[in-house]
Amino acid sequence: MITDDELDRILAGDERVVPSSAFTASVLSAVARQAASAAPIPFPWRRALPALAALAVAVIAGPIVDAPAAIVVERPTLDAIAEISVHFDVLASRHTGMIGVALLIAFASTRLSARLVGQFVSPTRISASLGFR
Amino acid sequence: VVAFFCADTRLENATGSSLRLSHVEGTGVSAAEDLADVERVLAGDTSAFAGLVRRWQGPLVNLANRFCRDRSRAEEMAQEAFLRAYRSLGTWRRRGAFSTWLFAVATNVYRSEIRRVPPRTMSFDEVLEPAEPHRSDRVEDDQRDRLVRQAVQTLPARYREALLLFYFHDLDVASAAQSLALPEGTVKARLSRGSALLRKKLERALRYRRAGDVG
Repeated sequence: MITDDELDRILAGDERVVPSSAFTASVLSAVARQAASAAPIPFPWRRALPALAALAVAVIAGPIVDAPAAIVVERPTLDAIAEISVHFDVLASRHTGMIGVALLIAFASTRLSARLVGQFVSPTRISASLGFR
Repeated sequence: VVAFFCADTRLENATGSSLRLSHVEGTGVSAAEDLADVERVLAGDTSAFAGLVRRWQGPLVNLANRFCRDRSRAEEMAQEAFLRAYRSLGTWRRRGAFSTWLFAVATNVYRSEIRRVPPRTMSFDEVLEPAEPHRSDRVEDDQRDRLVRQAVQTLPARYREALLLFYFHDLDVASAAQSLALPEGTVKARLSRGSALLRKKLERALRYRRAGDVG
């Protein structure tokens, strides 16, 4: 049977591989390629954090503040559906301002993202790139 | 318990013993040069990375070879490790040696790579040939050595990695633990269990061989 010392000798004295002569050049060329390629832009967590926090608050608080009087529909009838749609019409007319603010925030965030990637992308270019003409 | 105690004692003896084979060539020689090169690379001088590659290519390729047992793949894995080191050079805290950090990065790369594409492991049948009366002791020894290394490759990953790193670092548990980013106690336990498993496998293989010889 193999003794402990033999086992140590065999495993510690493993064959030694000498890197090929092209190895250093290959690594350095890969490093040069890496250095030449633009570094990925890190996500700006510090700037985005307040906006994300505000969004989280809005998502959580929104349904609580805007909760309409409970609409209990035991059986979905046409009357009940009509009642719900009227309710949403009222909500929409009452919250035009909020919708405007939301659109404004969406536009501002688009501008901010465009600035972060180093160029301004106009909404028309965005829609064109998405295939909308 | 006895097996664990024996293995543990052996590890402790080995750590401080004269069994230092210096596979990690260059360790301790180049700390100042490493630091200077890293500073230059971080300052934007990419060419300074060449010094780090020249100093550490041997150990990194050898460590990769222990993981995959394939020379050309070992070079590919070592190249990936150097690239990863280049990308994350800024995360080296300078509290420890550059080599310690580099081996930890490389070990991480190698472990992922081996998990992604496991190396082809030969069965014991392929390694073991029936004993022949006229074969020289040298051939017998080579075959036994291959068998032992082959048996290590068939161990579960956690034990195999602990053993590979322990022997690569010249039987130094602390260095193996740093490379694996694990506490020393965990590495010792894995070494102990790994050694026991290895012995069991070897015993079984040698018994099988003897039975084959008789038959």
